[in-house]
Amino acid sequence: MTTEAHAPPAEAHGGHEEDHIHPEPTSWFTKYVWTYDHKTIGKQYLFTAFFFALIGGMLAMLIRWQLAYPGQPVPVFGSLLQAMFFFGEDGSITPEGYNQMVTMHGTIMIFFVIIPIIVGAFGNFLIPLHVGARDVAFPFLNALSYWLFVPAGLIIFASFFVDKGAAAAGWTSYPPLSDIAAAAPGSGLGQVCWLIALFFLGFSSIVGGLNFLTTIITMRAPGMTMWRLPLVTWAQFVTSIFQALATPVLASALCLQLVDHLFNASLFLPSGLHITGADIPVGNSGGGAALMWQHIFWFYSHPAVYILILPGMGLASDLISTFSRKPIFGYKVMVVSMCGIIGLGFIVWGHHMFVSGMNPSVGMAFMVSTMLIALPSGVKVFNWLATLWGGNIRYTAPMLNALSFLSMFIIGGLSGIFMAATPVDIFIHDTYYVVAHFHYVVFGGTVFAVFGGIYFWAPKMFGRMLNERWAKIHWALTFVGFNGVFFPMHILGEGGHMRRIANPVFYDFLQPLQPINVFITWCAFLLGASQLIFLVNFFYSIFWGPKADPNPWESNTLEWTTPSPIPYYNYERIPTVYHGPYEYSTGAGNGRGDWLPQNEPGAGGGGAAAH
Amino acid sequence: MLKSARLRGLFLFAMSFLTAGAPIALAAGDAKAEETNWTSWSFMPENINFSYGQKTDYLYFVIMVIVAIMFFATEGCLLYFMWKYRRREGHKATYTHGNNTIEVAWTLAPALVLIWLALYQRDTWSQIKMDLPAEKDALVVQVYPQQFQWDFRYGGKDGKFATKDDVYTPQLFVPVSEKVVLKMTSKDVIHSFFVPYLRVKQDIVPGMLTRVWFTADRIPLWDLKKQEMVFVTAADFDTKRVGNAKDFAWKEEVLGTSGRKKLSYEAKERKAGPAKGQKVCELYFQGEVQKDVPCEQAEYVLHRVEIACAELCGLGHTTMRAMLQILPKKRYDEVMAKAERLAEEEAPPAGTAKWGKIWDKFHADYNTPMGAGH
Ligand code: HEM
Ligand SMILES: [Cu+2]
Ligand SMILES: [Cu+2]
Repeated sequence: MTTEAHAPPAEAHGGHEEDHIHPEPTSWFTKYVWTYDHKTIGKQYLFTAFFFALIGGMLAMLIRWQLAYPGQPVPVFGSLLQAMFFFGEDGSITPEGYNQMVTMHGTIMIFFVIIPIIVGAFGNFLIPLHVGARDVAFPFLNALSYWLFVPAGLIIFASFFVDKGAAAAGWTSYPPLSDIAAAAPGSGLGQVCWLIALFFLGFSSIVGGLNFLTTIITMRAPGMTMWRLPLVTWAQFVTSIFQALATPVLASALCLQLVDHLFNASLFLPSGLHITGADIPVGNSGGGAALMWQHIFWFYSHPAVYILILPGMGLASDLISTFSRKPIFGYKVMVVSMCGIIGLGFIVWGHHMFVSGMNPSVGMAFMVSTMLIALPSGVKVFNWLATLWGGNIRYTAPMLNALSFLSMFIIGGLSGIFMAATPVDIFIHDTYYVVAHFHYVVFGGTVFAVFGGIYFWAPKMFGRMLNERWAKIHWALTFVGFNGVFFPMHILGEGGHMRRIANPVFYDFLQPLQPINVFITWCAFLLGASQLIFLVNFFYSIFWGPKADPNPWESNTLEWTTPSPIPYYNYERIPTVYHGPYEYSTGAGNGRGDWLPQNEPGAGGGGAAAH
Repeated sequence: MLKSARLRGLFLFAMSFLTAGAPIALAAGDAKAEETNWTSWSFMPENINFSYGQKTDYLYFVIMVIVAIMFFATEGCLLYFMWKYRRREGHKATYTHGNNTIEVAWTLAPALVLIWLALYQRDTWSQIKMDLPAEKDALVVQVYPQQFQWDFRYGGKDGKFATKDDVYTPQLFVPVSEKVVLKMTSKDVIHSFFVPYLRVKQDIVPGMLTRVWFTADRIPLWDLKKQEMVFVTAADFDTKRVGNAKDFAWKEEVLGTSGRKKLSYEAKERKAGPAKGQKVCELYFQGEVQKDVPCEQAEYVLHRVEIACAELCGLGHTTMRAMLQILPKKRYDEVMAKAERLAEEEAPPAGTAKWGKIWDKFHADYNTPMGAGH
């Protein structure tokens, strides 16, 4: 076992890369715009996502204002943006504007911020580096993937300005509301933009996913077996499977709805449907099924929520191991549990539809599979905790964010169990409980992991260190603000507070909860403002921060054996890999410290397997 | 190494014991599920549906206990490890790649709990969703929402739908503690019938029949002294002096910057009355109606709970609300008798054309009574 694990395998993957290093592009255009370099493409994704995060964040602030002070003019912005459909004469938010805001907030944050950062930016930047290659398998497709994302972004951005404004039927876009122009202000051109934008994005995702899969399978450096991949790359591998298999289903759903919009196909419109004031006479619609969309949509979108979290789990695994100075506990179990998540991830979509009118027996089956999907996540949590156990933990900014990922993900996972319990979900479905749940997993989980990842890899990406002190201040304020915003939402949900309503005080039974809404709003402003610290720190430091050493965190994976910032060709010589990625505190010392880079033979404990 | 392995074993044992032990202990409390208010510690609105609302609440409570144990165990470990294993000079991390026994154990323990939970809740789910009472044994009301209003139809005297004596209402009236089955479909987009106090939520989809059932076992009253809503049983109702809601004006004052409302009832002026200027009311007391009593004698006013639309349904979604009146059987019968008389004498109110034009044409089969089950 030990000898086998140490010897580089005979058939060396990716060996052909050894001889030719492509020359660096010389023109500005091929260097920064139409570039084939996976690192630059990763940064393109990162900056584009930052831009959209600003828009999504602004929308969130407006939403919070409305919920705390319904109908009151929005200070400053209300009068600035009065011309937009969002606002009434006096600068207050209109009900249709509110619906558009929640719809676009969700759409932008999921499809234009989190997925581009977690897959586009981190996947592109890290996968070739982690497998020990000079680029991805299909650099052209990689560039194409980004340049399909850009028109998607432009279209979704433009949709704010089209006639009657952006889509307003929720990020889930349930027909018939989304399907008929007369049903909601945004369900005309705005919805068409939404569909086309997501269609582009879907293609970008599929192309990207296939590319990553091919890269990880075929381009691993000599000695880099699958069981020696860093978990963040394993996570990308698993995510790519989701992307390649589930996204086409989304594309088909989008097409169907588009056909309804453009050709009145009535695929989602049953007979007898009639919208008051619309010129669809009774009987003109018909033959379709409204529920069909929900099935197709969630068949993609449940896997999509795992697309959001899996890479985050990978990032957190790398950071927790590195800063605990310990090998990850149960490496193979970590991988197997991610595979379990894919398997189960495809058969739980119905848990979004427990009260949709779906047959209750089917609901019961989905309840069981949903209960089971909590298991792999739970096992991962135990393994992260066990990784910390016996460690020598360094509290750097990346680590603080990774630990926040862990503690917040626990809460998000546990609230999932309430909703998996069908009778309870009848009550909490479509309330703020759901909103609390997914923000704990997506913001509390993924976004903290992303911050950790950015603080961690910025030195390698830009060759400069981010300011550690401001990073910690940013982390602390974000942690406090985040919990202030989203924890009380469990209470709102428990109180029956529906999501997506523009005026909570309209309902008598929600009256007593209104102070909580006000509290949440002020925490949201704190949370929003704290992100400015990050932006200033980030943009200042990548230009003027202190120059980074090749391996500032004393980490093992291959990218840290290269100079910072990383050269165009990544590796001058394709490295040979001798052991798993987390050989910390092996006791061998090597005259260096407590780490043992993957490309260095040494007295590490062999592969990363759990023995 | 041995020492640390033992420590890990201990930690693990404690965790699996806690997680597996909890449901077993809780199942013992199951017998009492019917009697106790299981969510009084929470922010959940009071449950008034005793057919299954209690069970929903009990399940919520059971999950809360399990989840709380998991939460404190994991977050506790996290904080403890963060403190215990913080970086110290000269300290060295334990070099280990894991332990298969532990992995198996901490996979199995939560797996058992989750499977137990999945099996445990099946009964409640089937009672709610699959074992609907036969429609001949229940009050059947049809619900036909549209952007952005609720409409209800009762079978009237003959109990049959799509006949001349049908009663149409913009609010839902039900007698206390009687089984109610709602047959719902939507005229336009998807809406969702949500009554927090009944633990009922059901999407209403165009082109589809969705049914829910419940019993409303408490009568909502407005306590005029305390200015708050209370729930009373049918027996209690007869011991209280309850004013007719029509004689009182419902006030919602908008207060403060947060837009919070203050709610109250105030006696309305009525033209006829014994003494001039005196406000008089109709009072329910001890099962009798007393007319023209001074309003001060009323201690309570008949109140109602809200029906909300829980599915985003367009521009007016936020304000798509109807009221649920839960009445003592006798009062309910009076209200219905009056409505039935009106239905016979007068043409159906404006705005009810959609029932005849669309529902009865496209969904005639929804009018036939259904048996027990779903
Ligand atoms: C621990 C395992 C989990 C369980 C048992 C679980 C369960 C559920 C259930 C039952 C719902 C539907 C609730 C409802 O609409 O009534 C839901 C919603 C949701 N979950 Fe999870 N979940 C888990 C983990 C995650 C993770 C890891 C993510 C993403 C990173 C996630 C993201 C979401 C999102 C975005 C929604 C709401 C979608 C919407 O309606 O807008 N969940 N979850
Ligand atoms: Cu899901
Ligand atoms: Cu509605």
